[in-house]
Amino acid sequence: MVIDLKTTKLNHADIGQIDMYVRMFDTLKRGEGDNPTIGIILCAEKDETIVKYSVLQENKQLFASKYKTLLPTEEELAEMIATRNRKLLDK
Amino acid sequence: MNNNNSFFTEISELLIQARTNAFKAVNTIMVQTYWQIGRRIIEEEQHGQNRAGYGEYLISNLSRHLSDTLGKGFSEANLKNIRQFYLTFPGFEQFDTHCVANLSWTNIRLIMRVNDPKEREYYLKEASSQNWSSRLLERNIKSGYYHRLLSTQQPTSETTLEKQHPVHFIKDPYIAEFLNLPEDLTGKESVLEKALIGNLQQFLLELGKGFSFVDRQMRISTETSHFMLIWCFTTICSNVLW
Repeated sequence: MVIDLKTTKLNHADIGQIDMYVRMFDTLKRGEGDNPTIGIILCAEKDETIVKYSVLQENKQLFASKYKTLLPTEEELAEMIATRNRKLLDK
Repeated sequence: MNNNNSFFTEISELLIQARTNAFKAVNTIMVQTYWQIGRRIIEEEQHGQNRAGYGEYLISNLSRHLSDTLGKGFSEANLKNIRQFYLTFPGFEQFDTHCVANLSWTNIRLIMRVNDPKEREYYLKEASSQNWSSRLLERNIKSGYYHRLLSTQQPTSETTLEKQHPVHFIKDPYIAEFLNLPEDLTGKESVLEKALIGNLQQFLLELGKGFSFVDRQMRISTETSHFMLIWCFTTICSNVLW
């Protein structure tokens, strides 16, 4: 698994970069019998539109996740669950 | 001398293993007994359900009796937990399997407070198979570990049914409060990286099961990049773990 740290908002260049890293790693370093390499961009912020219309949408090995340096409060957690449920209902 | 050393180590290991086994056995029996007590309390309450306040009365009297005869550990609050234990998990087979037999009572109590049955099931399995301490379990529940998994954020599909698919362990967001870093780290990738390396064990726990650290900044050179912050983790290559 390759992790790329971005302390800024996710952009297209980051996605292109991790895509390349993962491909290189897969070809150059991955051993036989290993699972396919996974790439995660840990970013401070991300725009769902960028995610939706990028290779992240299709690719099963690439992910962009936000990181947080503070524990969520109970309200934030409740909000997170509510958003998730709304998303599930929309689909 | 060297021979002796390895002999001593071997004996120590035997004893440590024995202690662990004894601890687990005691724990299993205790959890099982609590479950039985919980069931008996509920049955007893149902017998007396016509009488108002019978449940409260029963618990408080039982607590007094047990404290008098057997000593500490049977406060009303604890008896209520025991009662709740049975209500939350009416089938004991959930704890009887090899999977979750090593959960401590403290961990079970933490999981009991989770409302969603699927989420409870998840924490039972993870806390047990990954040997989470109570502190870690509490932190994970609080930080929404389960809800941050990609698989719980998507509708059931072919992907989510595939047991080994990354959506079952990749999360969004990741929470790294253990780094004690400020919220805004713009332009400070190296600070973030150093902090993560410095707290690697906790970071691996946040990533989830099956990850081990291979190499800091394993460099893959390209013509244009001079600083690549890449880390490599491998998921331990075993289907069982996922």
